[in-house]
Amino acid sequence: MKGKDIADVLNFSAFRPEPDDPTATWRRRFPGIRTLMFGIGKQTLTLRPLEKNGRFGKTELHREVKDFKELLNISGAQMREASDGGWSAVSMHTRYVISLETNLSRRPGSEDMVKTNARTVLGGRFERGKKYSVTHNPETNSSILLTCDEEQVGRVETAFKETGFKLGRVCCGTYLLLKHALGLVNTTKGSEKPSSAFIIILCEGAVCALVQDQDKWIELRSRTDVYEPEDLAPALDLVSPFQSRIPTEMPVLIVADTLFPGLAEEVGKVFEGHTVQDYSQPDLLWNLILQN
Amino acid sequence: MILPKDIADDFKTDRKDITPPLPAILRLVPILFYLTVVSAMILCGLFLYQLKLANDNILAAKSGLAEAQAQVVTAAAERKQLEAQILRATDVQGWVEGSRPLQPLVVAVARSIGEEASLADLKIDRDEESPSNLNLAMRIGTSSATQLEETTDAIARENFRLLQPEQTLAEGQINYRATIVPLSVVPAETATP
Repeated sequence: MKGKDIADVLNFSAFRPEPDDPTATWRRRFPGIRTLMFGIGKQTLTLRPLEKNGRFGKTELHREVKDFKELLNISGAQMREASDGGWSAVSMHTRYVISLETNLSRRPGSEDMVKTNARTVLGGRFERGKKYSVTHNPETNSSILLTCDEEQVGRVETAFKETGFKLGRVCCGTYLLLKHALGLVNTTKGSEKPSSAFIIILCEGAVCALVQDQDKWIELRSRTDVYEPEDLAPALDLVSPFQSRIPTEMPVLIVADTLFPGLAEEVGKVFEGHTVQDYSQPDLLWNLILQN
Repeated sequence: MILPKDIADDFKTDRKDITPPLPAILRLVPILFYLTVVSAMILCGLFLYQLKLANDNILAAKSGLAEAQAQVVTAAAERKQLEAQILRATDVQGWVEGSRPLQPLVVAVARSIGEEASLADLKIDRDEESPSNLNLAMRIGTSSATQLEETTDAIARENFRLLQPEQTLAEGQINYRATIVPLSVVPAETATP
């Protein structure tokens, strides 16, 4: 036992998860500590500082960022001042793929195993140089698979480490919002009252659309770097083909990373006759990272 | 259906040596430690306060002892002084008591001096070898033998007997010496009329 261990017990930090323990929520890992939330797009970098009192600071949006590493080299020190120790969470909004798969291994613990030994879960769908995360549909044999470039993750880790940041989480914001939306849609246990919804996810330029019909995941479409916050038309163009494919009684559920005024009306024009529910909230993505 | 709620996906490279947090029940350990420290500080404070009180009491006792000793010394000095005064008073009393039988003698000698004479000096001492005997020495300013005779008569009237008288006459003064013995102690055959 070292002196630090004794000090950790005496200041109660030994009873909290370690800062880079991914199995614990952000709030439990960093209580009363200033941290930073980064969103990395193809040519954008979003910074949202989290204050000690749990409130978010002012958003910094950097556009036309050719390489986020260069931006971190230039402004990293200044950005780090808004944190205690440089602890950061990164949400990747580019270079990932969300797909609908069937017949993946459903062995107990497969959702955890896909992170360490993806080949045993994915079988022939496994590709080298990729990192995966999977969400199984408990009622059918379909699964939502998130595939991410290992090289991109490595670049993020290296760039942040070299500029003095410490990474507490590297995740995919769209996938997180999609899981949040699935939790909103599927609230009844068992298969007696199946749910149906057309889910639209908007996250910092990325769009993901999922059709769930009677608990079955029918179709999923995901694209990154589709729209700008000021112009959502490309996102609507991407999801509009679903209008002819989904039943009229199927509700449309919108979950965006932040609140877009008038979005529900715009979507309602595209999906005429459908019930449109907008579950977007200000800072929803960052709040989900905090709570998960 | 309900999807299992799990922690957000994380793609960062995991550290291998991450340790889970300690069980919440073990929070009692630091809490007890801090309680012990606080209790020790309170007890130390109490002990220091008691120590200060004890030291103050010791100082007060020492101060009282020194004061009592000073009073004892003062009382001893006063007693010594009183004893000296008592001794002197006893001496005075002894002298007064011792000289009381001689007062009529001295008065008789003084009254015997006539108008034309004067008593220049009168000294009466007890004999060291025989305290009942008195050594009389007097100087009378006269050249008359009558005056000396009247004086010796006055002494005789006071029931004293004069033995071994010596007298000298010089420059108008008579120096007279004699041993005076009370008649009560003079043997009958040695007494002179």
